[in-house]
Amino acid sequence: MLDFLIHSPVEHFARETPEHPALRFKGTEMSYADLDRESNRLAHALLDAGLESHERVGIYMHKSLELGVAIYGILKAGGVFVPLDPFAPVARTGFMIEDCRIRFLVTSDAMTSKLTDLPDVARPSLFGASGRDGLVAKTWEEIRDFPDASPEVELIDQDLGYIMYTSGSTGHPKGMMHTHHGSVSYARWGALHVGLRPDDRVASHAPLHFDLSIFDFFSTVQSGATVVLVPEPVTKFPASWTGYVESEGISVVFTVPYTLIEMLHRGAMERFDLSSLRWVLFGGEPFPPKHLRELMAELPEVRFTNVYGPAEAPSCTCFDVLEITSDDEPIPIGIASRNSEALILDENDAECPVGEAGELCIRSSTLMKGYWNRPELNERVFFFRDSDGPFPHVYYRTGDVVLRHEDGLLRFLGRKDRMVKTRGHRVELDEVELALTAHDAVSEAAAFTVPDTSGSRGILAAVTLHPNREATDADIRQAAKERLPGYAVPEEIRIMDDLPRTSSGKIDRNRLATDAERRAE
Amino acid sequence: MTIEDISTYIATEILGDPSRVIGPDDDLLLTEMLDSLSVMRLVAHLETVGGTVIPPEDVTLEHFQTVRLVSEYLATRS
Repeated sequence: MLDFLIHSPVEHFARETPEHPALRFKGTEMSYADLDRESNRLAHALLDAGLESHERVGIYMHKSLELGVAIYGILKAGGVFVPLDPFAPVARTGFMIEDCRIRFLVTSDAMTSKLTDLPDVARPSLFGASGRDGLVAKTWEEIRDFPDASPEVELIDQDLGYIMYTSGSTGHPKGMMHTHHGSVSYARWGALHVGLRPDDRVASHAPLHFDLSIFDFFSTVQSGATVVLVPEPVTKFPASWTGYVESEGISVVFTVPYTLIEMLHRGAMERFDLSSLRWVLFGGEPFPPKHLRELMAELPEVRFTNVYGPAEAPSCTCFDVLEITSDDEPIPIGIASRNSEALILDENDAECPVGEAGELCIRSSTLMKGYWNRPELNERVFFFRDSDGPFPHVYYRTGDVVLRHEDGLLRFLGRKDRMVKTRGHRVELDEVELALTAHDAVSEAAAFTVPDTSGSRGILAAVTLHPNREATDADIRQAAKERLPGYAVPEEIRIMDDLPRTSSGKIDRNRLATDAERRAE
Repeated sequence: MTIEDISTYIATEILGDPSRVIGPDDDLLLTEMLDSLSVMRLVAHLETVGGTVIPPEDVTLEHFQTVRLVSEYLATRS
């Protein structure tokens, strides 16, 4: 029986199925036995350099087989891995390195030129790269001189496994602290739900700093299956990604709706044999029902699951989508997973009755231990409720507004901070977006608010159109008027070639709002 | 379109830095000169200037990873 350490299955399958591929990247493979040995060597190298128990180690590299070695090497050394976005501005990376006090970084030669711009206080020793400009380093060749047996470290499943940074709504990014136990709970949930088997090839499409990657890596390893790392450039081209599904025989993917919508519209799906694909999980933001219906029609043999859960408490609820009956009804987020409780609270922290909207609060074994180094934020985001024992139950306040229908399924209504007051009326911006995408020609929509001259806020929107479809902003507004009360219809609808995105692929509504304010000045 | 035309467009219009030197074999993706958004802008520009339609199945890494590959691909379209 496997314990609750993230890396234990690597050791288990290195014994049971040593030659079976653990990782694939651009057609090359690394077996479970090799992954185990290489990670042990990295762990020894880190310990030899003075890594302390529970110390944070950054991972700063593009997708590669070494990325897997980095994850397990750090964990096996008793360290806590911190994924750093290789495409983020240096200042942001520098902030995280300083905030987490990272002394050791697993990286690659392709990344080190960026690191020389870091301020002096944040100049870590490098592993997996050559030294330059005063940065101390060990190459993979040197790391391979270390022993390939598991190092002896004291570690229990309550210890931290990783810290993942997420954008703060204001100011600096915040680091979520997750334990081994929490991530294994998430991983096992994923492996069980999808019924992962050793012959599955699970795509690692999302970047490592995005929480979907925890499913990609850790659910897969729970089942002795293979992670297919998708090169970042491939993810930028829908037709390349679709081709990658075919050529790599990908069977399971967990991604954001955007990737799937792009695949549907620009991925030339009819040209590829996608019969290896058996399960698609999506999350991160709502999937417009009409696009999901089209995608399900294209892939009739594939199962689809809507997974809901903030990175603070991933895999909280899920819903297996069997059919889409209405383009106007958002896809339910389903019921709580078996490691989570979904509690809906009103403004006075009293439990909401069925049918009444309130903030979703989560109690779960996947729940983070808190934000690193942010005591004031930790004061605010947790809700404590009496239990039968000496310790209260701890819930995370998601900031998401949901309601439970009579059928027991939860519906996501929007972000608490996306419920806006405009000239005295309460408007749900996600509802505005749904009304805009209901227009035949509209592919995606983003609604946001900007301050108006009367001291209130006005609603604006940006949309993209389907390829080869035409519509004017007046057409789209007219269609929105048929679905929304007058005060909720956007004052301006901009038709754009594409919408700005955050690094995790979500629509960047803040940027749209700032750009709109700038134009108005 | 020549390699220079394409490099100039990316430097000037996409990166907003006309002085940026882009080598014909520089990886446009891993060096972050292009992302999903700017790939689409580039495609739209190439279609307008070249008076041709680039089908979605051709918008792939194989044709867009470097300026030289873009140029070679366009040569096959004309």
